[in-house]
Amino acid sequence: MSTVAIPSRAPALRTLASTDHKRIAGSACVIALVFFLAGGLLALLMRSQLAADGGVVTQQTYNELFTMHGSTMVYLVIVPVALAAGLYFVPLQVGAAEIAGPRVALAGLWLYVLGGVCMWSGFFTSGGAASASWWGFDPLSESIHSPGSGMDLWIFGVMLATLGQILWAACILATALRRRAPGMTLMRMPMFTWTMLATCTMTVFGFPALILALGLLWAQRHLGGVLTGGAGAVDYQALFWFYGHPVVYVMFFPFVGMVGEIIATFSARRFFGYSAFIVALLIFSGLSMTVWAHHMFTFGVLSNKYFALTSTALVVPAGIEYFDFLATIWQGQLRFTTAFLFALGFLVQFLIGGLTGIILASPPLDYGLNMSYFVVAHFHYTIFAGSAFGLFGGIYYWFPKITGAMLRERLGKLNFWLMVVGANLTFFPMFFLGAEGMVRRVARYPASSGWQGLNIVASVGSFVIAVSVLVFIANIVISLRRRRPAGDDPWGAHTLEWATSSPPPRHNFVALPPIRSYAPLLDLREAAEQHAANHPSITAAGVSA
Amino acid sequence: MKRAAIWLLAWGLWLGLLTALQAAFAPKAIQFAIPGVASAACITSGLALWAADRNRERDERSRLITDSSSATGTLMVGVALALLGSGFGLWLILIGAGMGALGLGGIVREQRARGRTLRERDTR
Repeated sequence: MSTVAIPSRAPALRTLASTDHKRIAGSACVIALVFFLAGGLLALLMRSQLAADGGVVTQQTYNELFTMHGSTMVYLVIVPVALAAGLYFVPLQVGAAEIAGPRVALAGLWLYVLGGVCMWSGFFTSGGAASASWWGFDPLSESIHSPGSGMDLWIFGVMLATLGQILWAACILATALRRRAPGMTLMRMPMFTWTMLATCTMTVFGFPALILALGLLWAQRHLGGVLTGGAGAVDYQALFWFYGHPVVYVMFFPFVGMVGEIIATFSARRFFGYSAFIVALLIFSGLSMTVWAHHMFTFGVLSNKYFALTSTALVVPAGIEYFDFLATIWQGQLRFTTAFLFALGFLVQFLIGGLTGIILASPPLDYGLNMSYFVVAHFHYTIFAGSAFGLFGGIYYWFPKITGAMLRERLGKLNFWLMVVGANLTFFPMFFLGAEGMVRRVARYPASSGWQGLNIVASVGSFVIAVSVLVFIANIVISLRRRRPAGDDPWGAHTLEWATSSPPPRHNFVALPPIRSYAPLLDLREAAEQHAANHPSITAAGVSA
Repeated sequence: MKRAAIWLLAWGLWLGLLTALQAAFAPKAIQFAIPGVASAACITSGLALWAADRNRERDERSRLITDSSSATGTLMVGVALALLGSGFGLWLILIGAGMGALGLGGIVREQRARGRTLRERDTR
């Protein structure tokens, strides 16, 4: 199938009106970076407050800070970036000329931006921004406890951003299922595309529960009688967590895919156990839709045994995926690039998050640790020390494809090590604080508790993370200003996106190589090596000629 | 492409099976309802995709790639304003509705232009 691009009539409108999936994804990433910096600033304020044991902000301001920090990072940074990576690379990896439903994808971008602006505009209202945590904890989020329009703006903002994400996911899903190039069967799709398929399925069929929950919450705030009493709170939480736990995996699977691609490329090996990985992904993604009520163990009204069973069962597919990663690295010809280091960091640190998740999956242990800093540490080990490391790995890996320029490796490694030190300094002490009984969401703690030392360590760590992010931004600026051309495939990668120019043209490919496996470029290289081995005289003659 | 529905069907059935498994644990109705609806929606989508793909032939004609759509942005701003209007007053709903109508008109215009281009190409 050939493709014809209609030239744009108004180049000035290109960025905000472009239906090119690469531009939409690029815009989303830039906007997400702005929100990441804003959300990070809120985190630094919170850490300053806790290091000083109060005195920096009031409890009400602190409530707004942690609500908007969590909301920003989940709804406006990690999920959008995960989906934006799919928007950019899934069409390229399956050999499609464009994304399915380009206008729908553009609509998703607008909804995401408007949702973010809406959420943050709460800071400019007289009552301040939302302060009922990132899950809008009912009844705390009802009009009696959270009066003012800040909470309403939060509800609308989250609804809009989530709707935008559902639209993106639908486009990616349709592209992976219906726009694959000839020869690209389901079982020849790259790992990243498979993980996006799982992610987008969860998004399309799980996220509407959040929109419903927020609609009910808005109705309760303004009309009343919708989420009444204890049953109303349970219903809201059930609906919310049906979104709220799958979203953890929406923030995880895409980075598993990225890490898989990175490990295979920099180990110079075909990914080990491809089929087992796909089966594990199916089991994993289905299971992750049925673990949500482990966030509600202490309610004691849902079937704790069932949710403990499914939550613990997650270790089986996770174990298979880890085994595949390690087996791919085993005896590979490793190249310790920045992207590979971030991938290794993801594997190690996500393991800490995952293993502490098993502790929280046990109701008797969860009763003791619920709402403590142990949960905060676990969550941040999965989302920041885990997924964000996968994301940085993905950025260092794909930046040359997106921009045509290489990122600086030396700055990248500095970025990596600072982030390792910062992330572990920040989040590891929180396990001890939680075990000692420090509850989350408090702006002050008793001086006699002995928690200040560990809080100071965690706060120092958060500033190290901030320095690391500054190094990353400096790396991007320097690399774009003093460009070192990347070429089409600077890494010797395996998948189709590396078969086109860097950056790719509007219609993605001029020509596609034959697709006979999930690593078509590796197939080509192996065939060339085989040919050279079988015909040394021809090759030598060819070289001398 | 004819096997594309397999993923949705497998995923939906797996979720349905896990949902049904709750029966052994004295569940509340909401525990069944939420994942049950998601599972049913996924299976239905899979069946719809399977039915659509059954008789579908690969389209060998060239495909037009639309480069930009300012109307989409206008429509989405309209939707967002109308939604905000439900909390801030009828006036905002009306502004949102107006912008939405403008955006919809723009999308219709874009689609008609696309159709014209396709017809011109086919007659050439």
